[in-house]
Amino acid sequence: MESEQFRWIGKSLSRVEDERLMRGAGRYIDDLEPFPGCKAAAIVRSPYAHAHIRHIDVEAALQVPGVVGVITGADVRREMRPFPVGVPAPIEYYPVALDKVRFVGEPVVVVVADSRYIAEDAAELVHVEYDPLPAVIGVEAAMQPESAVLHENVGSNIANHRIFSYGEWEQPLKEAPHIISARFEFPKTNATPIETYGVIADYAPGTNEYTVWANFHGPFTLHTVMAQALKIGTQQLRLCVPADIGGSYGIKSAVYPYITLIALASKLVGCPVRWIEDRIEHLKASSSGTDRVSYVTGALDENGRVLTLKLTQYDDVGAYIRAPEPATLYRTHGDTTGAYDIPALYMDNYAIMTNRLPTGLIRGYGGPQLYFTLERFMDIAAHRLGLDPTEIRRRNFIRPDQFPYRTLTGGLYDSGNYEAVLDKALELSDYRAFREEQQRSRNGTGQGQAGAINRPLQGIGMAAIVEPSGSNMGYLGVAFTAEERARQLPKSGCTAAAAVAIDALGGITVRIDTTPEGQGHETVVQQIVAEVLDVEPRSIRVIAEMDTATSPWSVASGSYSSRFAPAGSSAVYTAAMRVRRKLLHLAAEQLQVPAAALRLQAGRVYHGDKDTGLSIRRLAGLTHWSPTELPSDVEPGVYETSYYTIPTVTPPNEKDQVNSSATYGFLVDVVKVEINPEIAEIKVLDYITVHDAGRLLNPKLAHGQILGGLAHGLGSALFEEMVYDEEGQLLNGSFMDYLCPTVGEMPPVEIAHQETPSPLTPLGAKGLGEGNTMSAGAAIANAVADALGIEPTALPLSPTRVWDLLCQGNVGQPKREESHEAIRI
Amino acid sequence: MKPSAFDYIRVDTLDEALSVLADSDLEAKVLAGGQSLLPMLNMRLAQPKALVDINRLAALATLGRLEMNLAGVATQSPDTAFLEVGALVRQRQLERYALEEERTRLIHTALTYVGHPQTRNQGTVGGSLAHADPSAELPLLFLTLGGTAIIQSTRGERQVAAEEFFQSYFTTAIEPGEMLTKTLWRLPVPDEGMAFKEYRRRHGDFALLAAACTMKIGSDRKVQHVRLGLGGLADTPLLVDEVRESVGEHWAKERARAVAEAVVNRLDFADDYQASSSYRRQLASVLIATVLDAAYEDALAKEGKHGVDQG
Repeated sequence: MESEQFRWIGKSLSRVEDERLMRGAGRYIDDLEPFPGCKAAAIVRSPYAHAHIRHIDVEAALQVPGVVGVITGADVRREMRPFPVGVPAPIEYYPVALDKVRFVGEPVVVVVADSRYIAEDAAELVHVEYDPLPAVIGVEAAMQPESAVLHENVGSNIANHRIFSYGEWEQPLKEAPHIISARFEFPKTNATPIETYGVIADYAPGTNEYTVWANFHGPFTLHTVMAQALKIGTQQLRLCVPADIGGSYGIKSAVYPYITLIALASKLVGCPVRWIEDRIEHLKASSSGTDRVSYVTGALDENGRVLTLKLTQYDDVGAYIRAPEPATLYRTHGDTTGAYDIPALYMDNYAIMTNRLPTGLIRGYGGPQLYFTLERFMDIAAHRLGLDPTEIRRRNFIRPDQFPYRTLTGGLYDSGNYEAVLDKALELSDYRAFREEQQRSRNGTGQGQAGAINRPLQGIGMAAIVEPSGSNMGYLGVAFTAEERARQLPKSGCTAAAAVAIDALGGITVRIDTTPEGQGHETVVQQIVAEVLDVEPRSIRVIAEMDTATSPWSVASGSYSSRFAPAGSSAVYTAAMRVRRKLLHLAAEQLQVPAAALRLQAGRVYHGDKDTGLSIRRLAGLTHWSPTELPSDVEPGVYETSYYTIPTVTPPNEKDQVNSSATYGFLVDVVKVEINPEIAEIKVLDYITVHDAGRLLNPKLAHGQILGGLAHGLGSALFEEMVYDEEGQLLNGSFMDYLCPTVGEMPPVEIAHQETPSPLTPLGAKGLGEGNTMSAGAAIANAVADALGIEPTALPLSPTRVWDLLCQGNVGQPKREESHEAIRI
Repeated sequence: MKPSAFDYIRVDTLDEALSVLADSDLEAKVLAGGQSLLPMLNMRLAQPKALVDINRLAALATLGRLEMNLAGVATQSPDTAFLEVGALVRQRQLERYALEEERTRLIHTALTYVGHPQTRNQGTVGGSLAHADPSAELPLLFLTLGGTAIIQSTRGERQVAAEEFFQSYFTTAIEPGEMLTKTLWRLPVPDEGMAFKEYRRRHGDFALLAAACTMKIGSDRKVQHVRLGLGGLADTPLLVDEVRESVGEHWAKERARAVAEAVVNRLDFADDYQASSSYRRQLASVLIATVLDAAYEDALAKEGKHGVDQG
């Protein structure tokens, strides 16, 4: 579709959701009362990171007035199977601990009572006897042979280990003129939505069916995981998701074990059960991103071209490698080499289990970890070679004429113009002027002098990253070897489903499968359908609720990996186009003119400039009210469904290559920082980010999404990390000490766009919103390195960490050589 | 995060409140702004059997100047003044009041660091002092300025000097059955220099370290009077003795660094994931020097003005 003709798509419409949310009329899970007689659950959780459960005594709890029942591991073991996991190793993960607890906060007992207050009173009276075991903390410690082992039947804490090699990776590491090695650490972070997990479950004994409401948002592969664990057929688990979810950023994907637990509780106590997670539970025991220790060695030629990369990555997936992990290592498989045309790669990937909170989806999902390593490496290489960091990127970027570009690892970059985005970012940030001023300042003030520096130090840094969107359901297959995959059913695709219906009085309704958590999908869907049918967007009712019994959906449904723009919108568009074709076909039959000569305008059918007298309402009405008068090839009613997948997300091949995402955007961040060396405080002076996400469906929403992703990235760069002691206790389990950036911490941000539409989606849109979460850590760390002449290798760059860096290095001695190459801008 | 069951008693007079507190069977805790207490209840860190809600006791919400000295003798001197702050005065109320004149400016500045405006709308001055968080701004300021706490019970009223009020983490001179009803704060004299500085990770966070300083210099530019308080370094806010050596001397930047050096050398600094002891030491050193110099600059500026006024 041509954008010049668009009336609604690409426009900054205000969100239709805001009206109800601003008035406090949103209906979140805790506002719903879908079942009468619902009781409340509270969960008794492990105080130990690693211990045998010797005995559980629930007698005193059962005596508390108002308690209706208690669920323990014995019940779960009897009624459930372990959740299927995404690796060959035989890890048994249940929603409660059975014989052992493996992380602080792990559920042990569920108490169901008339109210949450009473349930908590009773929970305090549950007595569990533990035999503590040594806690395993830290990936490198977990791999030592003398380390305690979390899962005895696995035998080690390595949940998954895979080696990949592509191209001539080894030779350059011996022969190239420049070999650079570094070690990096990325922290374990959370997503902290304002709304926590919520589950309301009801078991119907007459039909052996569960109906569960939860603020779950996919991927709906997990529906099959839940059904299998509950030992039921998938038709027996009706999962419903409210239209209003208070944020997620990936983290609510892991509500699924709680869904099964509360569903089972409902079955065993014989009444509906509600569980609303509180903040303490959420920070301690919901889910998190993985922390990663990575080692990178790269070889470069004399001109700064990267010849090969060797990456060893250790991801801590927590106490259980639960589905869909180790996706954190493989979501980015196709874009491992980022924006660069690198001819060879060796990857050694470990998913390690330790006695900490299990991991799962989170905004960025592997991207922040990968790009912190890759973009820091490029900066370190730049300085080793005496190149400006922007120059080394230019020399390695994929060129516009190389698109569509197939990466070593199987990624298919659909479109892009990387250098143009870089140029724009450098222009907006006045990069050249900053460098010139920096040069003058360093020459003039004799920064070569040793001794304490007590004036602020400024630096500028960049990151250039490929932002993948629309995950391929098959990418996790590379966690298995090709031989193992050959024995399984293949997996692929990024299917999205949508239905567009018009009722007897012309009311237009759309059902979507993207379970929004605040992204504004209802608004964009209105824009798309309004564009196709030429009606007012607000006249379209969008049903954002999901009901697995009645919605169109498939295993890839949900919102994650920013899939609404590439996949979700495509399904909506396609379904709407089917409705349009049906209406125009019907009109053409009535008017005896070719359908191609007709068009829709303001809800009416036009033949050229002439109003034909037919309207959408009239045509749709005819299909309902008088179906026998329809042409023989037209069915009654108007209800068109589209199940849409992008065909390029195919299964992994035997060489372990997989196109892990459907579409690939690109962004460049340029950040200026000022550091007060006396108190080691970093101030971000300004943050420029230029995005290419293909065609923007709604620039206002895109802007909000980018700011949110940037704030989240700023979090891991400067503030956020989950801190555990040697016994596995979470030390910062409240918002007092787990520091999310607030409005007060946001720097001035300028966002600009370039649109190179994707050739793969009907609207040319790519996903966005995770990009800066992936790039901010590297961009800020690169700026800090530029300011201090010291290389940061771990995040977050809290003042105490920066102080350590300052104490180790000798600030004022320029460790980094001056650029020999002029900056090309 | 739901509290365990408690009785809720809402009183209309101070006598009723004190009676409830005197009844040891009730095990009642005072509920004023609730900004510290209610989260503790929800997390079951505190499980009082009863809460006595004093929010209706208007008599505890008075806020105004008192012209008298510490001995309780009324004086005509315009220099000696106290601020009488009822325990129920909301932090935001004091913040707005303190903006009105120069002598209370330090109180205003410190209050802008206390949480967020929303929490200050509800939180009370008495509550913050009685809670005695070692990182909190109001205890630090009360100690640094000096003053008196008025504590009442069914047995009567007693007064405790600010220097004796804070005893340990979350522990004050208030005994079981007693309630803090008001505090008297010594107001700096008109030409007294003052400064407040705090290091914290984010806007609205608890202080990592905080310092408050008042300094009076004479027309001869010698220090007549100086008080320096530090917060976040120990189990209570601390008054720094080392500054007294500067009385009678000319101030200079080296003095600030010397005081800072002396103080950090005798203190122990906690080492945890938020900050290493090395970093805390550095912060303290910078903070002390900065706030002393700032108070001096402020005093200079005022002394010149005062001198002009007097001249």
